[in-house]
Parts: sequence; C-alpha cells; structure tokens
Amino acid sequence: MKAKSSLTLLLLLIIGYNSVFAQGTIQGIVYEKAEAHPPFIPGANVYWMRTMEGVTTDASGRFSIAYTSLPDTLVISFIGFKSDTLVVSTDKQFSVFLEKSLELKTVDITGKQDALVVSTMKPMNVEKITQKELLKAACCNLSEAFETNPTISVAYKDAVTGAKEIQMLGLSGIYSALLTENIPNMRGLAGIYGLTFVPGPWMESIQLSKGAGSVLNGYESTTGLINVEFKKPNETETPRFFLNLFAEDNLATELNAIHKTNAGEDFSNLLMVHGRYMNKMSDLNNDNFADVPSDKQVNIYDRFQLHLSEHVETQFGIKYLLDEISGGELNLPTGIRPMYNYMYETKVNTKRFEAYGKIGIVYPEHPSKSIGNIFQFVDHRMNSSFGNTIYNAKERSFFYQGIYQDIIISPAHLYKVGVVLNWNELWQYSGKVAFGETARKLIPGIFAEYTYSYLEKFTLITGLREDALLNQNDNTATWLFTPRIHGKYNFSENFVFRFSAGRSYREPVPLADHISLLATSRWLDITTVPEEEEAWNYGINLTKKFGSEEHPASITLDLYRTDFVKQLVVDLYSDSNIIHIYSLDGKSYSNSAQVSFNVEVVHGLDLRLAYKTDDVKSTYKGILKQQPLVSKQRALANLAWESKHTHWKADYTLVWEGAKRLQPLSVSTPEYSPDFFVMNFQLTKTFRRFEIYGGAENILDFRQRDPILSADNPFGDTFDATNVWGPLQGRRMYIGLRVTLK
Amino acid sequence: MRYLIIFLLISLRLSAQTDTLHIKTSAVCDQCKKTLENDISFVKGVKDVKLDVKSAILTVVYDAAKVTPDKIRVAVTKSGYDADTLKADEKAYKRLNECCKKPMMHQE
Repeated sequence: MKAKSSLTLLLLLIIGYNSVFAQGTIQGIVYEKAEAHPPFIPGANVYWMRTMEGVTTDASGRFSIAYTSLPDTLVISFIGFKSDTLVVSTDKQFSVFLEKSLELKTVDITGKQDALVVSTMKPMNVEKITQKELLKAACCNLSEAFETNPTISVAYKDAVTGAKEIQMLGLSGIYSALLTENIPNMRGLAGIYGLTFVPGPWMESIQLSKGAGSVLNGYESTTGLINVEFKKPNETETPRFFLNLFAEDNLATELNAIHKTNAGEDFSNLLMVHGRYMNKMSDLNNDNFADVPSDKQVNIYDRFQLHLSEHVETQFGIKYLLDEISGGELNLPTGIRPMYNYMYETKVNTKRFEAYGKIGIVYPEHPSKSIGNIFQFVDHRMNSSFGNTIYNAKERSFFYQGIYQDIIISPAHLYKVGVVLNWNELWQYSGKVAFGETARKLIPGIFAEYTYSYLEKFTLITGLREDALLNQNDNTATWLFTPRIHGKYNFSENFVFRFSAGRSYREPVPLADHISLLATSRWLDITTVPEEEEAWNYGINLTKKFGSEEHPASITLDLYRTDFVKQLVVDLYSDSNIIHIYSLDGKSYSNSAQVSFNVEVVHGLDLRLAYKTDDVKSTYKGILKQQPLVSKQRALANLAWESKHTHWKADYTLVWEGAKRLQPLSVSTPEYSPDFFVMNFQLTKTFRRFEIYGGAENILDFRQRDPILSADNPFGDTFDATNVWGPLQGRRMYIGLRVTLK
Repeated sequence: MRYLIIFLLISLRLSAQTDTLHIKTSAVCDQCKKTLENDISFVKGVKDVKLDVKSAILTVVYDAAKVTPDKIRVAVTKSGYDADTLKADEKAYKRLNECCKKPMMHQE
C-alpha cells in the first residue's frame, strides 16, 4: 500500500515536472569554451537549481526552459565538462560556455573539507571517507580507518594473532568486496590480514558503498564495497614529500615516507614506504599470553603515471610486503606440563607481491566515450603456526578487465560493457586439515551496465553479469549469473531516496577464510565440499540535508536485508569439541538498520551521532540461532573541532557496543558478553610545514579480561582463543609528526 | 574535553589591539586562496586572513605590536605572489601549481 502510493507520487512528480504554473520561457545555446568558433554542445543538461526541473539541449545546442518566477539559478552540466551556474533575472537569450574538465589538474578546492561526505547526487549509497577523516585514527592502517565510522565495525578474530575482521551489515568482512582503485584486492588468503596491509598515510580516501555493488566490480560484494583510493602521482594535492613518524606507549613505532617526482607533464612517479616495528609484548591480564602480538612490517609501493598521447593514459604500480607477527606465551611455565616442555607460540609470516597496470583510451573529441583496461598479478605466501598446528599457503592470481563505455544518443543513456578474466591458484597445507592438490580456477566473465538519468533527478542503473567458474581440478563449470539494480530519486536537491537489489556469489576458501579457528584445540570438520555461496541483498536509503548555511545538517536512514541461498556455515554452537563447517540447510539472513545524523553545531565544530542494529541469524543443524560474536546494537558519537585556519584540531569519539552472543565453550561461559564503551581522543597542532598530533585510544581502559580459555594449558583439550568479543589492548597513548612539502 | 575547547576558543579570541591591512596580490584562483590564507595565517601576529579571489585583495587582521605590514607583504611574496608593489619570490613562484601562475609572468 505504502509502496504503491509512493510509486504514484514518483510518477506524478516525473510527469508533472513541467510545472503548470510556468510564467514564461528562457532560451539559450550551450557552447564549448574555445578560442574561436566554439562548437555547441547537444544533450547538455539545463535545469533550475531550486526545483531541479529541466531540459536537455537539442542537436544545435539550443534549449528552452520554462520558469515560474525570477530571479532563479540555472545549472548547466554535461559529462566531461565543468558544470556552470547562471543567475537569471530577465528572460533574454543566453549563451553559455562550458569548460572541459578532462584533465585531473583542474581540481576544485573547497574551503572546508568535510570528513565524511554524504551525497544526495550519487545513485549508489556511497559514503566517502576523506583524508580529513583518515587522520582521525591513531595511525596506522585500513583496519583502524573505520573507528569514527558507523557503517563498519572492526573486531579481533582471535586473541593470539591480532587478526581483525570488519563487519558490514552484521556480516563478516568476507562478504564485502575490498577494492583498491577499483581493482578487486585482498581476496582469498589476504582476506583476514589484508586490512593491516594498507597503511593509513598512503590512502587518499575510502568509498564505502552499502548493499550489492555495481556488476563492474564483480559478482561478489554481498553486503557492500570498500574502495580505497591511494595518493596519486599526478595530483597537485599530493605533496612532493611527506614524512610521518609515529610512536605509541607500547613502543610500537611507524614510519611513512612518500616522495613524488614529476618529469615534465607526461610522467609522474610516486614512491610510498611504510615500516612498522613493535616488539614489546604486554600481558595486562596475567594469563601468560601476549595481549596483542608483536609485529614487524615493511611495505613498499611505487606507482607511476604515463601520458602516452592525447588518447592514451597509462598507470602502473608494484607493491611488495613483508609482515611478521608473533605472539603466544611469554614464559615457559615450570613443572606443570611435562609433556609439552616448550612455549605455545603463534607466528604468521606473509610475503606479498602485487603488480598492476591500467591503460585508458580516451577520445577528447568524444568525452563520453572511453576504453579502460586493468590487469593485476598477485603472489601471496603465508607461513603460520599456532602452537603445534601449522598452516602454510601460497596463492597466485591474475586479473584482467576491459570496459568500454559510451552514450546512446544523449548522455541520459550511458552504457558500459566489458569482459573479465580471473585466474587463481591456491595451495594450502595444514597438519589439522587434509587439503588436496593445488586448487586452480579460471573464471571468465562478461558484463553490461546501463545507466539512465533524467537530469539530476532520477537515475536507474541496471547491470547484468555472467561468469563461468571453471574448476580446473575436476573440470567442472559453474555458471554465475548476477543481476543488479540501483536507483535514485531526488525529491528535491536535499532529499534523496535510493534503492538497490542484487544477487551475489562468493567462492568460500575453507581454511583461509577462518584462519583464526586454528587458535583452538577444537577439531575442524571441513569434509563438506564447498559450493559457491549465493545471496540476495536488498536495501533502501533515505538522505535528507537540512539546516542553514552556517549549520548544515543531514540525516540518513539505511535499511538492508541479506538472504543467503547457499552458504558455508561455520558452526560454533553444536559441538563443544568440533567446529563443523557445512552447507546451509535452512534460513540464513541479516537485517540491518542504521540512522545517522551529522550537524555543524557552531563554525568548526561537527557532531555525528549514529545508531545501528543488526539481526543476523543462521540455521545451525536445523535450529535458527543468532550468529555468535556479532553485536546486535552499536552506537557512535563523534565530535570534531577545528580552529580558524585549522591551526588546531581536536577529535573525540565514543562508541557503544552492545552485547554479543558467545560460543558455548564451557559451562561457565555466559550466553552473552557484556556491552561496553570505547572512547578515543586526538589533538593536532598544525604549523606551516608540519603537524604534531597526539592522543589516546580506549581511554576508559576497557578490556576483555579472559579472552583465552585454559590459557594455562594451551596444548590441552579445552584451550581456545577464539571467543573474542571486546578490546584486547588497554589504554594506548600515542604521538606523531607529519611533515609535508608541497 | 569541553573545557579544553572552551580554553582553546578563549585563547584564540583573546587578542590585543588589532589593525586591518589590504594587500593587492597576484592570486588568481581558489587554489591560490587556499595557499595564501594558509601560509599567511601562520605568520606571527596575524589574527585573521581572507582573500577575495575576484579582486585578488588579501585582507589581513593583525596585531601591530607583533608584526608590521611590510613583514606580511614579504610573507605574501614568499608564498609566490606579488604583494602591492613587491614582486613574488621567484623560487616560490616556480613551485606554484600551473593554475596559480599568471599568464603575463610566463612571458617575462
């Protein structure tokens, strides 16, 4: 009923755009800005800023638009050009000249950068986490970049390796796709530790999109997409030189250096280096286990951009990573366990090499047409041990994607078609689980996406994708058909409604997806041959901007549902000695609702409040139960202040995490964990060329006291370090320095 | 936290006798505005600074006991821009983004 009436309203609004109260018409011609004989632009959008009602220019660039009252502001926009506004007070004939915006050099600079950009223009529900927001985290890497973000929660996976997992819509991070500059990344083996492999200072921004993603980005992305944009060599915003030094009271130190080289207009290079060293293991809860493991990381990324000709833009990059994590027991307990006269230690050593390239072909005379090619190669090796259990793995993958995009007749009809090829080779060895030979998969696919836009008012994106998963071990083929739809309707410039729906698939990698399950003496039963997981996701979003120019405010409501058709269920409930991993038989779903509110209270002081509730249930041996270790409710408050000319910046965050269902490990394990608060504060002083910042994380010093069960006997039958629901580290103080040479 | 902010606000507001100065600069765009306002805001004694891009006039509010108009003009030239009759520092000018460079200075 409600849906029906809003549909009627939608139709009424579309049909009735040409207001019946029109007073007269404005006429004009839209040209391209040029020295002499400017060519006219057919198909340009011309609309009133206030009502967003408008027209498009005809074949000779002419337009004629009705108005109700003057003066009013006219917006003229066209793909590949900078939009222009025109204040109209009389109905004479206008000539508008639009400037090309093909080159990235013409970056628009706004006076104040918002930390979190909530858009009412983009068709997809995308939140952009900008550089300013990234600086709010203590340092370090992608896993900490979401501390001030309500959409994503980050939780420790186990109490011995420091592995962290993100959760989106209440579901594990393995169901959201991570992309780096639109290249699928950190998949398979890198899934679990991958977040810590992306250093904070390298990132320029992160785009978070909720719900099923675009078909261009793959058949995965059940719950959403996280796209990381790194600093770019050819952008003026990227400093020539950047240095960041960071130290924590637990003696963790970090160094980040970035250097940009430009050789003329056509070649630019950016070298980024990251090093981390932490070798002091604390044990605040006296369980003889390090609270968090020590770690060492060297991470290098070199990228360059080459402008080959007027038509060809290329960029290439290579990354190399060495990471060593070690934790476990700190001392050998004397006398109590004669059978195991050595310490329980954990080690996770990673070596990763990645190379990628992008070749773009553009047509300056045809700004809407382009061809994009992406290729990527990854070699990922991991050696790990959890006490007596070894897990070693090697993965190699190759990815190619080609996209062609153009418009049909006018920019209102944009289409993209493409081909994709994934090849993946995974070898795993573990003493606990028997793996077969190296698993090889070849996945070619095709996709098409069509975007219809009616001015800035209504946008509909429909995408179809077909992939063939060719299993080279047993020569079987599985067809994956992925339909997706996204839509946006603007009630006004400041009020938008969005919806999305789509199917997604994922190939489960039984052990790599859940490496942390090796930190337990329970047996793992993965006898089930894993099938592709399949899920549907539906969601709606409402965003309203209001408030005055001095006090802009916005409120956002998100409602999302994920339904699994096929899933590989990790059963942490049914058996206290064995973790069964098997195919879903019954229902499995997640319902997620989130409300967030942003306001600039006084000039320079921003407040953000958010509340989220996730209902995640799955069928475990015939019984529908709440998923363990996911908090049902979460709330966040963030207060950010900056002085005039941003000489001082302060940031305060308070997060409340609701109770989580626990794994029933022993009779003394409670059914639910307690709820808790985490509080962070940071202060930054800016000087002309450098910044000094300091702060404290987890100021309330809240910790989970007993994350490890039977910590005194790690080789015994009841040892378990996977029932982690809260912070493992106490209060952390840090200080850092950033030097920027423009 | 709240006290800290109040303290910071007060310490910024508390200021001695201030003067206002207008400087005609060679700034051309919003990028220039950002660079200049940022750079000049760090000059000792400067309380507030604003550039009007259209007229290229920089308005500076300053504490006359701590800084002189000439020192502020020199600071503008060190950012790569002309300040009234003073010419931009050549080295700083070269480092500016392409969009911030004046066409006439290219021909010199």
